[in-house]
Amino acid sequence: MIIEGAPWAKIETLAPDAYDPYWRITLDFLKIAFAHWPLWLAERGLIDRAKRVALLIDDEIKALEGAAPRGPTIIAGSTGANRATARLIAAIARAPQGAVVLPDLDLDLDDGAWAMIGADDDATLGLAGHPQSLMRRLIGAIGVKREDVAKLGSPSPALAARSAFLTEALRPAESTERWREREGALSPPALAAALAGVTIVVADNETEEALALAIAMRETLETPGKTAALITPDPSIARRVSAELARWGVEVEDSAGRTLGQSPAGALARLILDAAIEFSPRSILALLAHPAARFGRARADIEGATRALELAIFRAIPLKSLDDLDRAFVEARQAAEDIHAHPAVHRVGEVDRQAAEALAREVARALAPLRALGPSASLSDSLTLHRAAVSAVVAGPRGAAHDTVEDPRGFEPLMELMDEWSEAAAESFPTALAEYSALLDDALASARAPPASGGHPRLQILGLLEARLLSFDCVLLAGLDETVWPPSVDTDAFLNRPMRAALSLSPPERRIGQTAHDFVAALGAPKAVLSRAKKRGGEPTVASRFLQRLVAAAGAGAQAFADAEERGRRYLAFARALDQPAEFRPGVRPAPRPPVELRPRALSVTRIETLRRDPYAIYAEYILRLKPLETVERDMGPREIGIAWHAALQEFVETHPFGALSPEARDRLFSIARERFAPLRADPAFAALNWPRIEAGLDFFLAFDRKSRLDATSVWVEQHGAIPIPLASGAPFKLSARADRIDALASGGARLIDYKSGTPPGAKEVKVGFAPQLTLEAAMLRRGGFKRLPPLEAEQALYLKLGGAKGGEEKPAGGKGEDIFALAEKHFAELKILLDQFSCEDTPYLSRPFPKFASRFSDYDHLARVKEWATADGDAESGDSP
Amino acid sequence: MSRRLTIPEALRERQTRASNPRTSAWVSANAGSGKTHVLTQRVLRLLIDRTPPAQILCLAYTKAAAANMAERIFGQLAEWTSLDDDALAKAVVDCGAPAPGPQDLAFARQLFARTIETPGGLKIQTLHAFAERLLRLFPFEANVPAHFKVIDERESKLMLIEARDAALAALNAAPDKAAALNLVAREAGAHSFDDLLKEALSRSEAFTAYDDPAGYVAALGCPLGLVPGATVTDVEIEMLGGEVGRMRRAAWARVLEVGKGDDRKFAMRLRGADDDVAREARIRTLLEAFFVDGGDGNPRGEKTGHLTANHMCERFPALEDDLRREQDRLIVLRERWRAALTLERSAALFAVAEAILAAFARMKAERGMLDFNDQIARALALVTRSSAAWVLHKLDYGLDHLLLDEAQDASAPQWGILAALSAEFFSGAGARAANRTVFAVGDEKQSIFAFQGAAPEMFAEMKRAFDKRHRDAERPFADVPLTFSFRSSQTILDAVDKTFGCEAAWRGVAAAGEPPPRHEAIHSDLKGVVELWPPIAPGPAPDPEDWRLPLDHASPDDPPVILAKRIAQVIKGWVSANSLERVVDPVTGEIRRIRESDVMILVRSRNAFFEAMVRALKAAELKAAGADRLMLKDHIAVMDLIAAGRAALLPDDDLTLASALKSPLIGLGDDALLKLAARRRGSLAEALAVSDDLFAAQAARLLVRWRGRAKAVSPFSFYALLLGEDGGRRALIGRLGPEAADPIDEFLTLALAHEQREAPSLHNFLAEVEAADAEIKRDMEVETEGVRVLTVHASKGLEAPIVFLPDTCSAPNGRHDPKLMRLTPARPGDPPLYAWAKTASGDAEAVAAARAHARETAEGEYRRLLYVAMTRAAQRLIIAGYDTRNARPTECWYNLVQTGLGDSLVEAPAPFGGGEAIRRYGEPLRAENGAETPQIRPPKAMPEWLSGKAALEMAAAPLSPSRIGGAGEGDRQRIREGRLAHALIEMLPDVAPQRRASAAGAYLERMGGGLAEPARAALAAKVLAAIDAPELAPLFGPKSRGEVPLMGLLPRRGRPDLPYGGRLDRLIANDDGVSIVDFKLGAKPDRPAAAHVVQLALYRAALQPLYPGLMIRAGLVYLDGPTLAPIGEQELEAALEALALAP
Ligand code: SF4
Repeated sequence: MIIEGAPWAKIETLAPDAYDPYWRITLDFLKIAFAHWPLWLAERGLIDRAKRVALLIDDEIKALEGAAPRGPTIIAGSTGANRATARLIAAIARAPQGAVVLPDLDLDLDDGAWAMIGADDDATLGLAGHPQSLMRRLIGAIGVKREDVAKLGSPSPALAARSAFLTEALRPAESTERWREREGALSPPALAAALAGVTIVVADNETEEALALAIAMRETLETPGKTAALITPDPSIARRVSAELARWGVEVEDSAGRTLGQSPAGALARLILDAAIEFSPRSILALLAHPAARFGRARADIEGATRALELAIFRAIPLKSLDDLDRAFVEARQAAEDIHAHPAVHRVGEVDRQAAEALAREVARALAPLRALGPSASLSDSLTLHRAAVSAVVAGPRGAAHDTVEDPRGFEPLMELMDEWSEAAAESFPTALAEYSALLDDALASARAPPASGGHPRLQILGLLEARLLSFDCVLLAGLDETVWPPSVDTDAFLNRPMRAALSLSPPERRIGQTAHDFVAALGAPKAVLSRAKKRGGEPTVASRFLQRLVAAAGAGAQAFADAEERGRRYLAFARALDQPAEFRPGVRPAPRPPVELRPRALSVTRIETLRRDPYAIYAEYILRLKPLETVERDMGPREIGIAWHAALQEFVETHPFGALSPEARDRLFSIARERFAPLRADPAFAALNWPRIEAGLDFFLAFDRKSRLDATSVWVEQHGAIPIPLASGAPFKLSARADRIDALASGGARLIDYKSGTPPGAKEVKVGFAPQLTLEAAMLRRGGFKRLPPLEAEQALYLKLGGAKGGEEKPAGGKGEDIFALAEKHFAELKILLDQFSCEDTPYLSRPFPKFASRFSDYDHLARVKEWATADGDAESGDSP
Repeated sequence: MSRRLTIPEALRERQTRASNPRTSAWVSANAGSGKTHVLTQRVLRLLIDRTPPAQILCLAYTKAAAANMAERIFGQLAEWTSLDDDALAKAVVDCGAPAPGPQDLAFARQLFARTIETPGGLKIQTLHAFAERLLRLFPFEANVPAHFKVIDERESKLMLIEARDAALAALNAAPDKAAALNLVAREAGAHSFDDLLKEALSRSEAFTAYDDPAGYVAALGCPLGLVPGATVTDVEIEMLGGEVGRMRRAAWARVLEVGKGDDRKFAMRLRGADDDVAREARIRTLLEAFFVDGGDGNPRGEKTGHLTANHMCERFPALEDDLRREQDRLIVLRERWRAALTLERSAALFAVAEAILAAFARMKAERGMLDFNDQIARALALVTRSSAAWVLHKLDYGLDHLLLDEAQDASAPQWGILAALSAEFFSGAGARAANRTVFAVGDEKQSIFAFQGAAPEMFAEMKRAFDKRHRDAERPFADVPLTFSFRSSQTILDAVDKTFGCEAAWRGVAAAGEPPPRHEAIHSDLKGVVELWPPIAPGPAPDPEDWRLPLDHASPDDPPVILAKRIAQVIKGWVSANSLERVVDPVTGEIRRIRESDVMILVRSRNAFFEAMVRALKAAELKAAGADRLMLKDHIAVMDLIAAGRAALLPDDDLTLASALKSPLIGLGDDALLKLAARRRGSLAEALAVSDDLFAAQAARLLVRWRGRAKAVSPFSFYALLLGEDGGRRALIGRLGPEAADPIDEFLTLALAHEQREAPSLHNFLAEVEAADAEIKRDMEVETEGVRVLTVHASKGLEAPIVFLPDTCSAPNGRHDPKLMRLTPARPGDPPLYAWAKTASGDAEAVAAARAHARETAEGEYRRLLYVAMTRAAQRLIIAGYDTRNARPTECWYNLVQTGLGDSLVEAPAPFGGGEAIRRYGEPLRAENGAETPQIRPPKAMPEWLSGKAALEMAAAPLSPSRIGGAGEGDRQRIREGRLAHALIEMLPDVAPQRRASAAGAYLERMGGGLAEPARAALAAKVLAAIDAPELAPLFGPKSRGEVPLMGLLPRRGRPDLPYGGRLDRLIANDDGVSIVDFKLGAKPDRPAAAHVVQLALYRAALQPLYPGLMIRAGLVYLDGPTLAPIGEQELEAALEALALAP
């Protein structure tokens, strides 16, 4: 507003009195800008940036008007978009040796229409959006008439026809009834000439648009010496096209939208802040993955140590924050000792592990000062420490700054930006690190990345601003949809359009006029491709008004237009064909038949369940020896809950191996449980939502245990057992188990118990052998498979559900009244048959052979590509959720 | 709808009335009755009537609908620009407007450009977009942060979890709240808590309306029939009756023990009620003694008339009486107990939910964020609590005409906004007020978005309200029903009318009291057929007791799979070359063969059938349009891409690497993987690296490439290269089918968004994708390439010649009951109350009534869904189904249609063969012979360059002379000083000499923040000395200029020219020659730095063409001195030469 020199006084009276109370609210806020801000500046002897520019321009004007002639002064290409600039241009025009080169002033438009555009700020008509509206204002400011402007150069006949057509198509709305006459520039031959070099691409979505444009650019390269430029206001189109061009090995420098924040240096600075704000495994891995991260080491060392750090520590234990590194290291070492740990963890040797720990410490050290910043740190503190952290991170082995960073100069703009900030940060506001980070993000996003070197010499990707005044053989105008080109303009929260008009402020449509001018100017190349996408971000778009006007002006069914679209369809057809597979070959269910000698010779009862439900998982785990590696920062979930339950009950029962429970038993059980669940309870949601039901489960367990001890002579927990099963082939096979609990009963029999913190298998599943854990354990027990127990016959087999709505539940395996002895023997016999079947090379390890009984989720589903071939299964019931 | 139509006069009259821009109108439009047409017409007539476009607000239900509407209007207006006078006049009249005069014609031709350029645009938008605009314009009045950010569902969900955890931690730590939390946690469990919370969030108005739990409890007690202060404990104590009760039960038990069977059980339970266990367990046992179903059900003995066995009754009549009395007493108490439990539970939930919702609201406020619901709520508050008049005034050019599409789906708060805004229409005075109109079009029968808060009953309610307002203001108001269908044949419409003809089917479909529908077809000669296929019965349960692996592994198909295959087979037959089946093209009206895009398969939800159907289409090699909605990270193409990224980051992760190897991106088979993995020693990656297998080696090379890129390029580039250059997209689509394209595109879009939002990092991007449950939603209208399989909800507004309803044998059941039941507050007008209900069997009476109401509402919506589904069909409607092992619900869709059509159905052979029969109503359209041959356009030849790499052309890196030789790292202080010195040198010469010192001081004070005072003074002195130095005076004379930007091209041997650019410090151009000078800090060295010489040489070369024939002298000024050191021409030439040869 300063630039535009708005009269503030008028603002008070903009709203009718009736609305005064409401208008006051806005006025009070605006006072910040028009009253407090100047005061604040005045107190400090400062000047507003915009005002300064205006004053400088005034000075310059004075100098121009001054006595001493300063030689020829030429200004070219400016549309005088802001009024101060326009004044300067006018002054130059008046200066003795001054000259103004007006870009694309339309000399074709009839005077009547030209006069309409002159209605400068009549905001109700969208005239500010006319491509010539700025030029009209500018020559008005200069004080010349349009006919007094001399033409520089003359375009080819085709381009002249094009420009005449554009003049017609974009003429002020109030004169568009003239289109109907289809004369002059709109006559069929003129249209044909105007559109001869024009191609119109209407893509289905932005991906297709990008590829079609890339193809058009690629085509240009086929003619030696020809140049092409993609011009778009949308950086993401630019990114997409440059990525598509890579498939032909064409690298195009895309100066349209790379910000400093996206440059390697900017990215590093931001990753450092991320890691300082949230010091977590993920943020550190992201930082270490940055090619410039060195921490005083050679880059290759960093990569090795990072790998070890991720495998041996971050993936080995659930770890959300790294505040206590030492404890994490200890836990990770313990985890590595577990024989069930992932082989990749075992593969990390001691040297690597130490390198990993040292690196983690180094990272912590480098970030420590930043992390220690309090919420009231000053901007300059944050800045200084951040800069120090950047230096620490990029420091090479000898302490030299980024000596192997590929592009050391890449860091210069970042450093310059930080310099500027430290100059400005003298007056310091308290800025917590997160705020500093947000500020920096903004600053980095508005700074241009330093140009990368080595782009293709004949292709360019440009923003609207960069494209001005450049010329190419072929231009591609991309993103011709409303809200992209032209951009969506809206008024701000303070002043609506009539109010702006009353204050003689430019209507927001000025910006549309500017992009319209860019549109017309860019179209002055022999070949032009115009593109839009019917959908962006999955949402339907409306075609750019410029494009719509071209269509309407050409008239329904104009041949020249249809031809232009046909040329566009050619590119689209190429784009569609390019990624079209030659044939469609859907995946099939895998059925690997590995040689017999690779097949497992020992499995536990729980793996037998897997063998029944999903043999492929056994194949992947035991034959391919692929184990799932935990993710970084994983949540503790059902698995950890189950482990805690087992551990707590084991500890409790082991301290009470037989006999009735003492009165203190409850306290003891609860204290053991609290300890075992401590890591889980650290999560407030767990403590609040899961823990009450676990407590109920503990009470349920106590009641169960009390009752059990009435008929049990001894209680055995977590018993390991194994028995050999001779196969028909003569090969040995070992069946093993770890029984949660076996009660030896006074009757001479036994009770087998399995704890379930999730849902126990249904009676049917147990019966038909898809959950044979307890039955097979019973068969093993009968055969003396548990070392510390004599051969016993199972009288009962129970699933003990712990937790849940009722606190817990006893669920006899196979349902109430099932003869567990008979069932166990049957399952044992069936198991032998199954194992014999698998010891034959013809038997494949199918994935999920019984969809109904397949487990909901398996680690190997992706490897088996289940989603590719599986037929629907499971719940055929319909729900109502749309 | 461009087919030539004869529109019945009655319809034309209604359309004209509905679109009259001078009167408000309420349009109830049947399905397919052309409501979009009327809406468009109305907008056009408003425009012709010279309404400024900015004053029109047209609210659509979805963005797609809004875009579609805009396209129609602009398309129509664009067409007008090229019509001749007669044709244009006719077009205008066709819209219902009066015959235009010549000026009107010119104006009509201008309308296109006028409308499209109207500042701020013609407002066709969703109500959410409108609400957002309001809030942006009135942040202060609406009390929202000035630059609030709108967050989507996903972000809002994440934030809710954050708020939940924060609130839970606080509650857990607060001793007075812990009990409530404990109760909620035990009752709900961690699993269903989030669902409960979600429901509470959607009912948040009830939780925020009451200040504290006590107030809520007091209010809720009323409808539950509890006296204030009643607690569960009180009721339980009363039920047990203390010592007296115990003794009586013991006495009864002693007698009952004489009997047998049930009586002994009775005795046991009576005694059990006094066991030494928790009171709650005792109550349960007591209730079990007197009521069936574990105490939840009816009173025992209801059937037989007595509680004890026959002979006991006779022997102990007094006992029977006692027990009856006790039972009666417990009936009353059990109800009160249930009510008290409900109250206790609801109060606990209230405390917890309120805390979480408050934390959530706080969090959003702190971060300046609004979610979709907030937008509506704040906008409603803005127009009701602030001033609607002010809002209307400040909206750019005011708002005079409000048009609402799909009015039946507006929610109560949305109606609130519209009502408040339009209320102003009637209060204002003058001509402007008189010209303001309201228009709504909707159809309660098609209201299927209850889960999004749609309030279908409001449509009729608002009609009445607006009617009254208009009458009070003596303004015209038209109530226009549209019953004609432009879409469907009369057969289909008759089937709809018959189906909904009976009361049972009609209940809840339209507003109470409306007569059953009557639909009339515009295309009266259009043939149509409704087919009923026999539902597929469930097969025998395959529960193999035999453990052996079935080697044929062809387990029998489930009914949904059988049906899906059947449908695919029938469609395949239709589109095959020799098929005689035909449809009428909806656009051209000609009879033609059936195409895949003619078919729409509508399901109630994305269930097992949905997947089976998509697969069956794929298996039959039919084109399918893919899912209208899918979870991104669950799509296998996305899983493959993630695996590829992960494998590139950490190849030691064997399983992920193996998954990437097996994905189509690499395409290793199971055998190759076995060879590679089975006998390996170390990691899979190591095995891969040393494998001599050809495929494996290829895979290894690819992996190396990915690893390299993962280190060097952004996630977007990584995936763009993988999909494009490496042929990943082709490979994925080749295996997974064309529908994989959408998830791939979406994934790429996320990658692009990632790098535009934060520091590009593959680690972070993958973590983000895996954590987010991004969902793709597509509207199926734009692409109609193949068979569309979608939910009825998604089919809203769509139509197809052929529609399948395959999912008709199930109906909503108790599983979908809400958890929070709405109870009526004691005082009307009080905020709503919700009771947390658990199983239906334990409902207190008020809750049971609320549950019944909720179910009835759900059933009404279920039937409206059928109405929508049936009316999507234009020519053929196929009702198919499959049963489960449970009995088919009597009022399921299948039965409703079957009952409705009844005797009109005739048998016909099934199109899927197998000797089965179907029943049908009406006749399908068939051709006499199939001689028509489809035209196949030959594919365009692909030029060769499309598949090859482009020839390598290297651009030279642009050179920046000032950087040659490196600006010197480390000493930032020097760089800063240099910058300041240059700025001073540029500016000071233009300042009057006597003011220079102070100007320099002031400037350095302002800008030289990083510099200590002595350094600043020294710098200023240095610069001033240089400017004042007599020997340097010519440098600052009138013919001199500072900071001159230069660009040039450096010719090089055997290579392209090298572009360079930079800024020259000082240029002095006299008639007799040109001098160029660069300033350097420091003192003159023995020899000028080579880099400085090169710099000047380049500047000189750039200037040479501008001063032909003039000698350009160059020199360096060292400020410590100051000293001017001229550089000789030879030296400059040599530097340039060296550069031209340099590599
Ligand atoms: S619009 Fe704002 S930023 Fe621009 S000159 Fe005016 S006050 Fe300054």
